[in-house]
Amino acid sequence: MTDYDVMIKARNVTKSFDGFKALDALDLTVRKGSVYGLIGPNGAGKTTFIKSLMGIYRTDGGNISVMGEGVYENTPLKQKIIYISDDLFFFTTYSVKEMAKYYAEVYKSFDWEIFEKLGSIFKIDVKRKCRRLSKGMQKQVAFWLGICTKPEVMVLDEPVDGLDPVMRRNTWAILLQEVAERGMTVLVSSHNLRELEDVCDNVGIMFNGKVVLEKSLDDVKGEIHKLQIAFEGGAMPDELAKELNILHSSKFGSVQTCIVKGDAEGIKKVCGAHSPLICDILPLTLEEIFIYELGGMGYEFENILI
Amino acid sequence: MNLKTYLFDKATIKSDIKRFWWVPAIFMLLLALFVLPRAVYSIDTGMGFDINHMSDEGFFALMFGFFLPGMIFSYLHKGNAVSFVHGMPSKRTTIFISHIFSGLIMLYLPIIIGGIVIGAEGLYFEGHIHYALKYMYTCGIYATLAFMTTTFAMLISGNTVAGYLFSLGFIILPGFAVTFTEAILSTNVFGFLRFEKDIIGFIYLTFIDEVCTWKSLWYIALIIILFFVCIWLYRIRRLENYDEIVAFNPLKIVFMYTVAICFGYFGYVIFYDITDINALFLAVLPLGFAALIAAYMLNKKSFTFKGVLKHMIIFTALIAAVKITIAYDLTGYERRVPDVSELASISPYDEDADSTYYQYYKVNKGEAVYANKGYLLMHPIDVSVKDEKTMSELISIHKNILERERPMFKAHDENDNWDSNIKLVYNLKDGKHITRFYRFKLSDYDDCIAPYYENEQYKLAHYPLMNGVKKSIKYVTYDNPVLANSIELANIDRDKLEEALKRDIASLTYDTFKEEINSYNSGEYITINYTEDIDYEGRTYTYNNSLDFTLNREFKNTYALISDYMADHAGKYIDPDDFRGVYIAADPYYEDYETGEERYETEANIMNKGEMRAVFDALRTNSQYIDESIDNTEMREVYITFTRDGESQYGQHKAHIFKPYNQIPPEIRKYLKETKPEKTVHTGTLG
Repeated sequence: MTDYDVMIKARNVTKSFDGFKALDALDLTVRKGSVYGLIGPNGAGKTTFIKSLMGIYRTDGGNISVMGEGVYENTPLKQKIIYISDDLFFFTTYSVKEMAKYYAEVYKSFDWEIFEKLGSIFKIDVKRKCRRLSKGMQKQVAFWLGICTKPEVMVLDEPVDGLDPVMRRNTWAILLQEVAERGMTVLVSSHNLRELEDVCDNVGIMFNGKVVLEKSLDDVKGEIHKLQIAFEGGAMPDELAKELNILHSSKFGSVQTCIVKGDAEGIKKVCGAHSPLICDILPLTLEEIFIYELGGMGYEFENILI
Repeated sequence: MNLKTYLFDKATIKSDIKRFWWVPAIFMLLLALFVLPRAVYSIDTGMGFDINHMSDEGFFALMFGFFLPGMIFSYLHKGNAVSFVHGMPSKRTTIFISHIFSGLIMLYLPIIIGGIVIGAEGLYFEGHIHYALKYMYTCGIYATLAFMTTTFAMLISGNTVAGYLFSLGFIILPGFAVTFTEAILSTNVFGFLRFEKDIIGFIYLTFIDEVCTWKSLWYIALIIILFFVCIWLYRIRRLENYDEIVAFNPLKIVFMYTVAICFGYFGYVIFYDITDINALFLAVLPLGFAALIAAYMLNKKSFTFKGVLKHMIIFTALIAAVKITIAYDLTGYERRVPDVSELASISPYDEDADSTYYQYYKVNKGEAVYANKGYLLMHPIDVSVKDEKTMSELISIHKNILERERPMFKAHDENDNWDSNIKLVYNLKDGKHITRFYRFKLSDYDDCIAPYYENEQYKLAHYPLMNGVKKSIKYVTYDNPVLANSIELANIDRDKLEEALKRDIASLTYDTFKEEINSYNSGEYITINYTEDIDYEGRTYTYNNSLDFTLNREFKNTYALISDYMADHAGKYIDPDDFRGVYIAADPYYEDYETGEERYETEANIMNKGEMRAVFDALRTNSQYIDESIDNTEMREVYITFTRDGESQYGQHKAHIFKPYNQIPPEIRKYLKETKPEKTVHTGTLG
């Protein structure tokens, strides 16, 4: 990937709050025109990174650049970036229309035509006060106004949280259309991994202030698999267990289910050498990848019964 | 770079005005309700148009200047709002300046409109707009300073309520600090009087006349400084510190110790007031610790004690250091007595003399002079003594006082029976000043203080009549216990009177001076009202002053002049034959504030005409009497009432004398006992 292809680049970024390292030598790269899913457990530092990226927070060390320039206090660059936070803010007395006028004054590229067009999709009365709208509707307004600025980079923190299924689909569709038509770059942080799986080109998993995994979604999916295997006599041979890079294993009856790292063909070949009765290799969902990757780092799923 | 777009963001300014337009609207409404109708009222009620009493004199401007920044900058104290504002493409400087600009527009608009209306009224009724200009200037200064102070407070805090409290704190803290420091030093540092400059008067410019002077330049300077400091703070502020009480980590410790020190010393003063126990170390700690812990918890946003012990120890050490410094006079302040060789002059003020001679100083011409300046002008004349002999005498008095009083002062065992005080201002040759103030019992210092009071320099310095400045006497009045009313000595030769007074003052001895001080205008006295031109700080002020002289036996020349004058005005005295009796009450020993009941050691009713006449004659010439053969010089208080029917107050004539026992004429003295009882004053009724 050349620098020309890179839209967002973070290197060795650190940020502490009262001695607590929220970002710890974080590296991250987002390609131009891609949708990058930033995922991680609560408290991993996603929002801190996003606010640092937007120039809201000042980093303690390292650097973050968008299109090769630092964002902090860079007004021309920020004209091209839209940030929609999870915790939205609208001026108390402002209606949707008034907020749109405010955006139009702040962002030179604000397009009233798009505003009118999207109005027919979101179907929100523009005279209504933003603060009086439901959380989901506020999300729609923020997204609506953000798209109207025709940004080159859109940074979204939990963008569809609170939206109904129809609006979720609409939102993603509009987003992907902008990516496809204008080459907009999207950095999206969400816990809804099922939906991210459908839209992301790349994912980055954050844990303890670092990006611990950053790959294209296809690569991630090609590297980790769910193996369902059964042997005569029940138990998996020890030699096979040693040969495979097993992240997690469970057994139900005579069928053993393992999460295995490696390419599908290689795993099949190794297993075949031990003549299993059953050997199925299945793809993992992003959610499973997330759980098993972080499980290896001590952030494990517990079967808790209360 | 386009400076206009760098400094101002149109969207921010418009959104501020759109959101907070109601603030200037309320401001305007209040002006319309409370300020402007006063003028109409004045005219309607026939009081006439008095523009000087029609304004709020900046109060509303101050209030709105105080509140508005809290609303404008409240977004800094909410996570989502601060992310929204700073996620937008604007520089921090631009955002800040735009907020300030919109805030000031909203503040100034009502002031300007109010000023225009007042100006129009001024033009119509008085033909000028001077007051309107002064009004706008005052409101502008108050509003801007309050606005910048609250802005500063909002920036250093992460919480709007805390921001307002800080702002209030910044406004009252200087006054608090000066007042409490003065209170603490005067009760713990021997010789400390008060800060020589009127710091509080300098800090707080009150009302229109004070604001519209050169002094307000320092407010303008402060506004400019605050503006640039706020820009800097806004640029470096960590926006993630919303919700913190103090948004800047290095300031957290300053906040904690400031709160602890303020509350600690407040606790000390309250404790001292209640118990009369001066415990500068121990009394500071309880409230100081409580405040320290509270501030610590606020900083940590948690009810935690973990880590606070270290700060309590530091605080204790700080207070102990202050206590030790003061208790052992580590700075040498208390024991410092300059040597004559160091001195250019000494300006001594003994307030006994001041209270007798300077009490009616007022300005009647020239520029208005305010209370704080008034104090300085109490002594506009160079009262310094320069000759080595007098300076040595004063230094000797100083040393004497130090030696006798300081040990008692340090042991908090002061003599409450003081009846005199002295302020010494040493003017050193190097241009510096040393000021000390002491209270003492005058009679304890007879040996060392007498030469000073009898010194010519002292008299020159302390009697305005002697200061060489030409006086223009306006009128002279004379009072005597048996005069029906005090009378104006209209035709008396004023030059002769002035000369006579000067000669009498020159011959005052220490004893007669003390009598003069202690007489409290009882017996016979004259009042001279005059004007004189005083040069002060490059300007000439015309003063109107009244001097009272109790005509004790030292005022022989003056008394002779008065006697001659009164010989031709004998009809002004009461005629004892018009009265039926005389009631004498002396030496009050009991007084009840609630019931007004008084009891006297001596009470006598005289019905005999001859005795009545004797009392009358004794009163008429009482000031010149002394019986040197009697040693008893205890001050005695005698109330004499000439009554017409013995019951009714109608037509009574009352006289009062307060003199040493041996100076009370025998015709009155014979009714008194030789010793008087202790006087007690009650706030409740006698059981």
